[in-house]
Amino acid sequence: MAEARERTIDYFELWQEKMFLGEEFLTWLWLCSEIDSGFAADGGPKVEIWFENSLKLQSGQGPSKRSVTCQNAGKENGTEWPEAFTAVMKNKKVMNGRLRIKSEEREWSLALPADTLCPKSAKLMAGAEFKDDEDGKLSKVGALLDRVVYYTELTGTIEALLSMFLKLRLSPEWASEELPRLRAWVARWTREEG
Amino acid sequence: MGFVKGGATLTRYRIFEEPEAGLTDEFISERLTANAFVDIEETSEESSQGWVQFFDHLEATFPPEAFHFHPIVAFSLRLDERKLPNKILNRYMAIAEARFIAEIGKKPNAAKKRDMKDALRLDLLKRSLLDTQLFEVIWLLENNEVWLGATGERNRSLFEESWLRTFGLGLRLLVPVTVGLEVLEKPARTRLMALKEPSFFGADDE
Repeated sequence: MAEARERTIDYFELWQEKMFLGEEFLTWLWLCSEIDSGFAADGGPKVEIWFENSLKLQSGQGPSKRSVTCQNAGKENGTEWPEAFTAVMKNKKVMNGRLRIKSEEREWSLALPADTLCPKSAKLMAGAEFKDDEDGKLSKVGALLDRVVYYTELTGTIEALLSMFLKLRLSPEWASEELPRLRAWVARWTREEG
Repeated sequence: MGFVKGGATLTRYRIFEEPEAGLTDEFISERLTANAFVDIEETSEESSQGWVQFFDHLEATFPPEAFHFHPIVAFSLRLDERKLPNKILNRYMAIAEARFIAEIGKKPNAAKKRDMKDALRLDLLKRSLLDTQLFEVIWLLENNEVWLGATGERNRSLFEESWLRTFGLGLRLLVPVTVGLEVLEKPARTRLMALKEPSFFGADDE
């Protein structure tokens, strides 16, 4: 048991060391959701993402940590997130956001923190098909198993998006194409806002 | 909020070890039973932590039909706590000391005060309400994945310690880097492990 515990702690240290991956992923996801019409990971179904009410962005760690929470400003000025673009220009990254994920007939609303990418308050907004048992009622075990299927789909979708990001992040195209593309978009909205 | 009703919050783990004798209903039942929740309602115990049935949080027995719902295993971790704030204990202690002086005619000595305080603590704990927390656990048998229906460092630690004490099977938290190590091919995994420098998305950085 002690050995298992030590090995778990090994992963904890690795997690701390690579904490920036989740922050980069959520920032990339938000920027791409603003620029592109959707995501298609490894030939899978098209996934649409949009961020809802607020975004929390942060730079630095420990005592030098600076964070800002930006509200959705509506599309009146061309972007819903003028403050968030300014924060990204100042090297802040998305730490948490409430978003919608639409994949095929399913649509989810959830909060996604950058450190774990574990869904919080995840609700299925559309696409649920609850199966009744012989009495015309959904049995409690049936309800649980249905939801396990839905949550498996949700975590699988997040995992596919993360995989897509990591492959890009670890390729030469990240520095030569993707990062300049995203920076140009951030600069555009920051200038227009400024 | 939970896996069956309302919005779900979950922390994901991969189990990276198997029981020596194989994973059977008997193994799970025996381990859950050995670490089952013990009720402290009628005692003055400060806390109790252990496993209960997923669909009946008052029941701490584990026949297979109570936890094995193919293709998952489901149960809950229950934590009951009584909290006795020092402020309340000190107030009752002051009353007890005043009564002692009125009856005996002198202040209690240090040993007597300690005895009085211990007795008061037990009495007040027994009279205080229990706070119950439940953490749902789903074990996806086919891919060795476990979901904890909670987030946060304290909740994770509470669950991880209970899991290890119960099953002795190592857990790996599924977070960006560990998911990356699972889904990437070897050359990319090597680059992931070597990656140290974060990227910045602001146009005027670096």
